[in-house]
Amino acid sequence: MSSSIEGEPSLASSSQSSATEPSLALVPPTSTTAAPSSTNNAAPETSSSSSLDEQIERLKRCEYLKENEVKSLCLRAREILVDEGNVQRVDAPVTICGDIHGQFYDLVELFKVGGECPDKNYLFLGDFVDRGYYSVETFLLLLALKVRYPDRITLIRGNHESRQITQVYGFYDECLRKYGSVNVWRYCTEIFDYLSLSAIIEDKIFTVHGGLSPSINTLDQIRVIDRKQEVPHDGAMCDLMWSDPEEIDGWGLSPRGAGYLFGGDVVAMFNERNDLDLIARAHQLVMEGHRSMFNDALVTVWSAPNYCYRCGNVASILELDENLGKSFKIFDAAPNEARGVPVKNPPPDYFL
Amino acid sequence: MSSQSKAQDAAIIHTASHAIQAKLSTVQHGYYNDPFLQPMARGIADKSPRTLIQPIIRRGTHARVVAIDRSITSFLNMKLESKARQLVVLGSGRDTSYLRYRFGHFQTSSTADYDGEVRWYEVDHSSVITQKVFDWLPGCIPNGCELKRNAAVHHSDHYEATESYVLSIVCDKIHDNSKDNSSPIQQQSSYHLIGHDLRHPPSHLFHLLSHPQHGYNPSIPTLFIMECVFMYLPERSTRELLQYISHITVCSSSSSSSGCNKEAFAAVVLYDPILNNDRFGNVMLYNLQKAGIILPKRQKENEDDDDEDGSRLSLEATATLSCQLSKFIECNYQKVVVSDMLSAYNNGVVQSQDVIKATQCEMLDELEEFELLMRHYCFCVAVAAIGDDSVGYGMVEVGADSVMGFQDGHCITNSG
Repeated sequence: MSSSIEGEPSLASSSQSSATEPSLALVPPTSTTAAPSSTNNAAPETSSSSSLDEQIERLKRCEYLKENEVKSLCLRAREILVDEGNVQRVDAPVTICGDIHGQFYDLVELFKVGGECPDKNYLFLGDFVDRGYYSVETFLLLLALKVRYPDRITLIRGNHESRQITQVYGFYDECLRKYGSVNVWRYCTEIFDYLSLSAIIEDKIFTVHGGLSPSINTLDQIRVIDRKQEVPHDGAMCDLMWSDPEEIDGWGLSPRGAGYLFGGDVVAMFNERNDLDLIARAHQLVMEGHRSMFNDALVTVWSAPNYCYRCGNVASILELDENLGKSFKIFDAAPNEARGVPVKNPPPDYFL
Repeated sequence: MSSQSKAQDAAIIHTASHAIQAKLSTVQHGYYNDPFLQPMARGIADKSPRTLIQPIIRRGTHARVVAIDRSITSFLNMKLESKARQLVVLGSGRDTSYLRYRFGHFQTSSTADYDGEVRWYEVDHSSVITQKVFDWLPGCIPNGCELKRNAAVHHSDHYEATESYVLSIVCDKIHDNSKDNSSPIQQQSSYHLIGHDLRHPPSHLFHLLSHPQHGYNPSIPTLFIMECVFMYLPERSTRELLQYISHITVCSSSSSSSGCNKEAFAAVVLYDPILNNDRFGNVMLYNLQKAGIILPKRQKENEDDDDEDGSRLSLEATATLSCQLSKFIECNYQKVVVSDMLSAYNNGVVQSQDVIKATQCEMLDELEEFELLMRHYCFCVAVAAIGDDSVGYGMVEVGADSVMGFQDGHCITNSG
């Protein structure tokens, strides 16, 4: 599916940009030099944090950025993300958040419940986009916060931060609808390739979107993955984003069609081998917002309340204090009056 | 009729468009084959704002089609003395089952080899029936075949003025015999489209069905199919309809004069949402109200209406599997099996080859949501017949030999 997209004319030849303006796509992913566009791109405000603050304010009102603003933001984000490790180190205290899935107003509610960034440190476990109505605003707000406060917020990659999946589950269509072209989708999906794969908090708590992989025994094996690519269909990188814990022994086939099921024995061995206390992950809807498994060796955190505006679940965030003491904060979907001007969105789908 | 309820009627009628779009997307992803969907979706497929049907909707739609298909093939394959069968699809909308039956396209493993006379009835709003006859069906007819309108019957009474049609699809011999697959082309069938508002008394509907042109006969084994129909109707209407069906079936088989058939039975297949009195169900109710498909909590129009329960929608009044079971029993169905769609999917009604086929069609990321959604739909089969040994009870058998695939421990029955 993604091949048809990649086969389209590149951004540089589109009517939106001049032929001399390089796109994100033309810059080799491993390049760490300053983005060439900062010299060519006639957008002097991109380097000032005050304009970034202004963009964050707009995004917080659920207004999306202009295409050239998105491009600049992505270029700046890339410079930050490219230096992060596949197992990004994070200090406590920090608040761990699970899937958001484009539920912008619920993300605003999350910050109300958990405290604003940068007053609080945040670690988001991926799946920022798809399913909800506001994937663009959601991802751009988180990305803008990342650029503005790189040490206060960590974003790792979920299985929906993928070219292929976003074409099925909504982000692609949303970009096309909101911008009239897929350029913003391209900028964002290029940034997805730079997102870290996992994080480790104070060397004790390992966090990842999905779970473990049969090809990964140690964190060092994650550290050597070349992550700057589309999420593969199999292998370690895929498994980290797709796998699920299950009450089984050892490994099982995942009914999702990607990743694996892994049991308590696998978690116990992984935690012991890597001197970990806990694995915190997201990826699975939990009606109660969070669920511990395997004698508290693993926890699932889910942060999209009333998921897909259909499921009726509550959401949670996991707050870790400086001593790694855990407390969950539960929250419900943002009240209707907090959702601003009603927009005519398609109703959630059922069998009718 | 108030403008609010007119808008609601339009929204309910539009659900047929929604259903066929979901089916189209399901077929396009390779879950099953139905060449009649595209022409039947005439006028809606392209201009729909909903370009994005989700994978869970496709997977659940596939399950729904497979389960309903299985009830049809099981019914047609029953070993009966009677050569004649009747199928009545209530709220048929843009349903293509008759065409798939007529041209041997049923996709379940056990294709019907039944070659007796079948009368196939579809019932829907008059406006839907008219569009189906004149706008949608003509495009569905393969080359070499012809859609014939044998009769149009005009009805008018106290409740409504409406029309019904007798259709047949006539094909040249070459076309009917040229299919190389083994499933037979069903020539011995007649196709009847009946305009009727299901909120009106069932006596009215059966009066239309029994018109000489349509020839419905309650002493002939009959399968009633109700797919996402009851949910929109007042509880009282659905009970009256169920009672009426069981009543005429039992009466016809007990009055042994005039060519009565001791094999007479009515099997009802119901696929409908169940709210389950939980948060997901509450959100479903809210979303359907917001979409204008069902009215918000009934206004107190009839203060003196003491039958509070009867004016509520079946969706709200029959909110759980056990409510569905009780309702059928209270409406005099002797044997009933109810299951939620997740059980039906995981435990036999949807056969394993269909589940495997679905997993091969596409990846499903939203497993938890799929399971939630499927737990909020029910699949029920109920049989009204006389005596303890009616052959019709074959439709509700549970266990290893169940024709419908109902397995012990994965469904609820009234016989334990």
